[in-house]
Formats: sequence, C-alpha cells, structure tokens
Amino acid sequence: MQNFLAKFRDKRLTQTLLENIRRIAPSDRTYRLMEVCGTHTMAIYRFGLRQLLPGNIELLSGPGCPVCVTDLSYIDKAIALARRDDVLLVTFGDLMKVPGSTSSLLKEKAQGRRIKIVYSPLESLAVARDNPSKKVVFLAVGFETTIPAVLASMEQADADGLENLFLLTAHKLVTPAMKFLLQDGAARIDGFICPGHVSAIIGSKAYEFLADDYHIPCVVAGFEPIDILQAVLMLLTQLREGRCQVQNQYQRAVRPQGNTKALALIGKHCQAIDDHWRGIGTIPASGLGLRDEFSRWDISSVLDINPEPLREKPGCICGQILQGLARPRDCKLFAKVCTPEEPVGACMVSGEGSCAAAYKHRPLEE
Amino acid sequence: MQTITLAHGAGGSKSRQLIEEVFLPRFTNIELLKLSDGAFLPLDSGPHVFTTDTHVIEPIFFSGGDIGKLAVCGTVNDLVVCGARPLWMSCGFILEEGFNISELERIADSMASAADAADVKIVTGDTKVVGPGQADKVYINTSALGQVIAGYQTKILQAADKLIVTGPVGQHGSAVFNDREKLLDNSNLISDCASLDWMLPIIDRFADSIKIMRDPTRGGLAVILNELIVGSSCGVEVIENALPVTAATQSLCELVGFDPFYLPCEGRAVIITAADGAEDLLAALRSCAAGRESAVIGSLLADARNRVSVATTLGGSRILPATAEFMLPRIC
Repeated sequence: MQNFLAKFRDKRLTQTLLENIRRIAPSDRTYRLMEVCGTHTMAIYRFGLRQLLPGNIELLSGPGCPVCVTDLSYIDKAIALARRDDVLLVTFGDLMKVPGSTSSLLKEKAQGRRIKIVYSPLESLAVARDNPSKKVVFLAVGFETTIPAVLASMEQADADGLENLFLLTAHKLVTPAMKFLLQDGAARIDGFICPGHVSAIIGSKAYEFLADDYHIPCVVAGFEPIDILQAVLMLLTQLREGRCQVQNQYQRAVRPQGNTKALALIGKHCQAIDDHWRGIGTIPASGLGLRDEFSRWDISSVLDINPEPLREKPGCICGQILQGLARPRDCKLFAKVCTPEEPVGACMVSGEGSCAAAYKHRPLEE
Repeated sequence: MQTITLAHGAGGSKSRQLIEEVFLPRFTNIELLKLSDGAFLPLDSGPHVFTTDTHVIEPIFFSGGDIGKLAVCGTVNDLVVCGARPLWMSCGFILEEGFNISELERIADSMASAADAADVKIVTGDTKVVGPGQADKVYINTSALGQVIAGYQTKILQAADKLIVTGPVGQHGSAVFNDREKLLDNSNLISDCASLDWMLPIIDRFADSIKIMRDPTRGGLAVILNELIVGSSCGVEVIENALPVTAATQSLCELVGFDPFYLPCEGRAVIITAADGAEDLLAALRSCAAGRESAVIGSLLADARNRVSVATTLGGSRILPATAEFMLPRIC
C-alpha cells in the first residue's frame, strides 16, 4: 500500500501540477471551488494543499461530512433512546461527541448508558444476538457510501431472524444539497470537486444534471494530493475553455453508472424524503427514509421517542461554514471556546468536519 | 482451571498461597523474601527519582507484550527518561474474581523477565481482589525508585536544538488497536513495548549535551512535544519525511484515519539535544540494536507561542495541536 500511495504523493508531480495550475489560472480573478466531501477537506489540510495553491484559488468546504449535517433533533432523539433501559445504542464513534441540546452520547455513556461504538454496521448483528432482551438501535447516519452497508446488514438480520435490531435513520443524499447551494447562489461556486467515495456508489453520471442545468463544471476526485490537484487543474481547464461537464479523475474507483448493486439495494428499501440539514435547513428530497414495507426496521415505528426541547448553540456558524459562506477561522468560537476536546458545533467534532480539520492541521502562519 | 477468588485478597492462607506460589518464585530477591510490610533499601547519596504508573490495558495480552511487561517497562522508561538508573520497584495488583491464575502466572513471568532485563528488583507488592464486573481481569500499579546518572540534568531549550526519536513511532497504539478491534490478521502490527534501559550508558556519555527526554506514550509524539516546550522560548518543527513509521503502522493509519503523530509508543524516547554533538549522539543510539532506527526528526526554533509544526512532504506546513486525536481508552 505504501508504494501505491507514494505515487499519489509524489513531490515532483505535485510541482508540475501546481505550475500548470498557476499558468491556467490568471491572477486577475478568483476561482471558488467547493470540495463537497469531508475526506477531501481533511486531505487538503493534512497535506497543506491550500498553502501550495495560488492565492486566487479558494477551496470551499462543503456539506459532505455526515456527522456535521446531522440535525440537532436527531442527536436529541439518540440521547432520549440511550436513556431508556430497554434500548442499547450502536453507533460510529464520530457521533459520540456531537453536542445535543444539553448532552451528548459521550456524556450519556459516562453516566452508564449502554452505547457501543462499531466500525461497521454489520457488527450490530452480533450485538443484537448477544442482547436479546434489548432493542438494539443502530444510528444510521451517512451518505450513499454507508447506506448500502446498513441496508445489507438489515437484510442479513432479517435472514437470521433477528427481531431486536432497529435503525434510527438520518441518511442523506449528496446531489440535492449541491443543487440547493447552486440555487441559493450565495456561495458563488465556480466548480465542484465531487466526492470520490459517494461517487463510487452513485456514479459520475449522477452529477450531469448539475453541469447541464446549472452550468457548473464537476470533477469526481480521489483523496490523495495528486488526485485533488489534478481535479483542480481539470476544473480550471473547463472554466478557461468555457465548458461545463462532469469529468472523472477517480477512474480507478468510480464508474459512470456507479455501483448498480448498491443502488438497487437503496432503491428497494428507501425513498427520498425532504430532510433537515444542521445549520442549513430543509432541503427537498435530500434524505432517505425507509419504504413502508420496511418501516418495521425503524425504531420510531416501534417506540415513542420523546427528546428534550431543542436548544441551539448561540454563536456557532457551522451552517454558514457547511455552505461555503464562511471559513472556520471566521467563527468567533473557533479554537477558543470550540475545540475538538470541547466542541460547540458539529463541524469541530467529526474527523471530517471543516473546523476539526482546520484546527488539527492549521498552517503555521494562521 | 484455578481462578482468583475473593479469598485470595482476604489476607489469610489463600493470600499467602498466592504470594508464595505465583509471585515469590518469580520475583526472587532478598528484600522481597523478608516479606515485611515494606522493603528496607540501602540508598547511595545523590539525587534519586521516584515514579509511579498504573496499567489498565485491554486486551491484557497483545502483539509484542502483555500487561506485565508493560507495567515494568512503562515505569522503567519513566525513570530512564528522567536520566535515572532503575533500582527498585513495587507492584500492586487489582484482580477480578474469576481471573485465571494461569494467566496471572504468565503475567508475572513477563514481569520477572522484563525486570531482570532492566536490572530492577521488585521488592514489595500488594494484591487486592474485587468482585466480578468491579474490575476488568487485572490492573497493575508499579512504582519505582532510580538513581540519577551523575552529571545529568535537564537544561534550557534553545533554537537550533535537535529533536531525536529512538525508533518508529505509533507501533504500540496501532498494535493494541488492531488486536482489540480484530481488524487485520497476520499483520506486522507489533507493539514496541520494551524497556529503554539500553539508553543508560548513552545518557551517561552524553549527559552534557542531552537537554531533556520523554517517552511518547499517551497522546503520542504530538502531545509530548507540546508538553516538552511549554515554558521555553521555542517551537518545534518536525520534518514529516524524517519521521520513522513502520509500513504496517502507516497502512493501518491510512485505513482507519489515524495520524501516527498521535499514536502512543511504549518503547521509544524523544530526546532534545544541543545541536553540537547531535550527530555523535545519533550514531551512539544507532549503534545499539534497540536504537538502530533512531533518527533526527526536526529541530527547535525561536517561537514564543511554543507551537509544534510539521513541514509536510509536499512542502506545506501544519500545526500539531496538543489535542487527543481520537478516543482510544485503556491503551496502557
């Protein structure tokens, strides 16, 4: 793996790409390119790419970190479930520190609530099997990347006759959010670096309506420095030539039609619903709910969940950051009140959150 | 299979039996055999260092070691990086009722061999037993006393001082994480858990130029570097390219999103040394088998804000904050 990765982190190739980027992006205007995916955000900070790019190329972090865009009311519901004696929660670790209205799952766990951290939704099957007297609830957040694995796990649970495994779903779709940002217009986006992992599922064709209807260049990109810089160069080339197309830089993982098996799994079990994004608001047809015939998997159909009243955090500008309207350092709380150890907003929590990435990997001159 | 019962901690004949059958045959030395309430120790003059560490790692047996080896090496290493030669050690066990005595024997075996290797004597100890579920298998506290090497003391840090690490970083964290989560079979992820006593002759020889040492355990290199420079007028710049990381650790980091700068080590030292003589010190470290992968990984620079930064491979820079990178409890 090391040798394979080294090719995508090659210093000389980086320099060549940067020279080409400088040549093709005249300094008389700025270029605002949005990386939608949190993993891109992390890589950009980790490798110090912002400092290497010319100053007139702005990389905006988009709403592609699932933990960051998960609504406050969802966290409160998860906390309400954790407080029930008949429930055992199973979750990805990222959600643990996300602040709810007055608590977090981490604080609940410290109080002795039963919450288990897993790396794959498949692990919930064993948890359900080992705890037959509990309702085991998997916190199903995430984009198209994680949704198929969750659904496959539930199909397996059905096949195994496990009747005590449920989901609390907040699954989200990427392209409706991208469309929303373009319709809104405030972020003045010149091009999208499209998420590589999500695209492996939905395919590069899924972005064509954005290029066609909203006249915006899109490039699907991988996550290594060379991938990201090449995607930037491809976007700048399109802008210079006045083209608006979907291009696929990440051909080693992404096909035009995506992963048809995974898409069929999603289509079989889920339907699009209007969904609320933390800090942004409701976006039409941007979430996935379970179809009626699979509503038995939904813990909300089994239990009445009574979360505490919503209490938003004053001063946090996560919503603006998620829309590319502000940078983490524009927030008054950033690195002062809000740190990864004591996060105020969700963007400081997740490993893929813009604020966490900016905090952990901020350049020396900032 | 024989297991620990509450009677083993009650102070009666069962307690005595546990001590006589498990501990005494392994930790044999005159001070311990007296079985008094405390050990009587002859001290030489000069400064000594006293340290303590409690070990709660899960799993208790991991690739490259176990809680017993860790408990001895961890405390020995705290002394060594203070510039002290380990002399005497105490150990206290908290055992969960139902714990297998055969596993306790394995742990005591590795404590004995680690103590022998580091030339430290376990001269006093204690055992407590708690009910099932009130502790997880076994916890071990070790405390130790060591004598400071003549002429060694910590010194004021200055710009241009060199930063040395004595081997690849992050092996302990990645190995324990892999064992706990059962991620990769047959991986080369092996803890670096080992005693640093091999450094003592080198510390003695370079006592004038070594300025300060630490072992980068919890929080890894990033957190330890931040702690080291607090109160100085310096920052640290680490050269990413120069950092020794094994291919196995790097691969796990790529796979699960860890940063090797934040993964704990249990057999490495970080040394800040005067620039003058740093190359000789490096050569001396590398001439030892345990230190052959030592490297100069950066240097200090004038920075009143005490920032720790990395010069990235591609020519950028990033700050390494003193924040816990991820939640990995019970790593040591």
